[in-house]
Amino acid sequence: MIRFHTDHYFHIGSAHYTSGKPCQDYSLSSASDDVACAIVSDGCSTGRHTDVGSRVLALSTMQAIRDHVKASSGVLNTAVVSITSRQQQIISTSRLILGLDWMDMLATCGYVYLTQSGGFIHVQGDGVVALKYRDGHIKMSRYLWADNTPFYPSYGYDSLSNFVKAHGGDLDALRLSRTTILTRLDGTIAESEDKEFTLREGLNGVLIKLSLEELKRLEFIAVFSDGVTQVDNVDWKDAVINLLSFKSLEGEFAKRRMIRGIQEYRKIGKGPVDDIAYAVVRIEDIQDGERENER
Amino acid sequence: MPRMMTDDSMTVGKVGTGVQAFQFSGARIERLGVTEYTLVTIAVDVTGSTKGFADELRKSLITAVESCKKSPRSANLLLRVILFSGSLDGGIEEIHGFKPLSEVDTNSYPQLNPEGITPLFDAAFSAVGATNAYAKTLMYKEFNANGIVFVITDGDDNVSRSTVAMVKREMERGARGEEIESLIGVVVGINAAAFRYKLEEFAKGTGMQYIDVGEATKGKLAKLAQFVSQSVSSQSQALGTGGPSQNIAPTI
Repeated sequence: MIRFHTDHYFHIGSAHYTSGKPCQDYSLSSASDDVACAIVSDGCSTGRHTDVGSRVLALSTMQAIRDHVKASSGVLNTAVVSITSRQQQIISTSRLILGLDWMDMLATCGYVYLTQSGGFIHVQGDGVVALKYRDGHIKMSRYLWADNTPFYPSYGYDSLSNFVKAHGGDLDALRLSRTTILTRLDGTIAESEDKEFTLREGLNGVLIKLSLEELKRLEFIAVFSDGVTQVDNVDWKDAVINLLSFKSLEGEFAKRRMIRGIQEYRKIGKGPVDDIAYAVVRIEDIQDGERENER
Repeated sequence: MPRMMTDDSMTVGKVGTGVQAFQFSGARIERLGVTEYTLVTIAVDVTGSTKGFADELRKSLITAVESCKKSPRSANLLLRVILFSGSLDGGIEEIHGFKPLSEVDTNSYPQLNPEGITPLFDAAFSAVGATNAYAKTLMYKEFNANGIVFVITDGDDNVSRSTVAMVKREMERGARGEEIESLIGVVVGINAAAFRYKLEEFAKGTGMQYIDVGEATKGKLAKLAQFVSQSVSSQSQALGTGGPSQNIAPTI
């Protein structure tokens, strides 16, 4: 059996703070005995009220996950389609009810969905995904769209063709890149791999499947907004390693880590320049007997 | 060493050395869940001279604790309550160590049984030192922490092994902000008119504040409870600002 624990945190970057703009990143997480999810959303800086849009998107994704779990007990093989489709419905309805413009909804979304039989990470846009294994090494992947023009899930209904045009109109063009780094226990890089995705692949969001066997080898899974790559005087890989170095694990473990991390970053620079958010699932592999004893 | 009352959910620490050492207990860090805590210590004088108002003093203590439970910051408070008297083993008895308010059962607080003379400096040293030591552990584990200590007494020290300088050193550790974000120490004099000068001098010499409650009447003790809970709330709200709360009332 696996036990899930989750936490999340988001923080305004110095650029938005000094210019009087709101934090446009948002994160959410939730865990039950059977399912865990962790969500980050990053509103577009040049959009309109994307601070609201990122929240609506994260909340819509959370509700889509709840609806999937309720309708199908969280079954894994239909989860991506079910969650994405419901997410689109809720975004669309919420936007109308709240009287929001489509420009308000320009936000990326990255979420982790885990069950007792495996799970996946779905990257809709850009950001960083990190897997920290029980033996201490970390595999992290940074997703970056060409021309800093990421895909936003809210394009799903009305604006997809404009987005495709903005990327040159060729669905087979390589427009999304991923840099994957595998670190050793001392934080040095053991392996590095670059991969590119076509525009067509990027529109569906990148899916990283996680088998039950892999989940049992993992201690933490985190999704970050791209703010983690813009901490003043800190390499993004070091920021990821640092923000996954939890000193205590109960309750608000991710909040404590990022609050302290930001305090440390501000001693060597401006701290996060862009808004920063992460959502983390901690995976505890427990024996059945242990679980029974706790009941 | 003072008497300790702990269970598996608590861990034991020590402040001072040799005959000037005091133990304290606190909730195991791995049980704590939020991002920041205010460490609250209430040290209550149970020497012989408090006999006449011991029941009201206990009620005041319970009222203060129950008021703290109703604070919007209650989830961010860890409370330690100690009694002090020369008649107690080591001069200090811990009713309970630093623990979440949700786990504090004031019904289990013992009836006060005043006797003995006054180890005031020991009480202050144990209270302030334990706050610093436990805060240091919390800060290391990435919790933010500040503290507030109340030493409620009706008389001057006449039996301590600790010194004014020791208490001062601990208060200065708190002021430096390295191991704890900020620390407020309050000496509360009750029925202490005869010792007011001495207590003020002690507070001044240690970096604590002195508050005089006046006569130990029902009304004054009720106000004392209110003062404690308001000061706790105020100090807890100051967490994260880098400094102590600025509005501890100068009088009760």
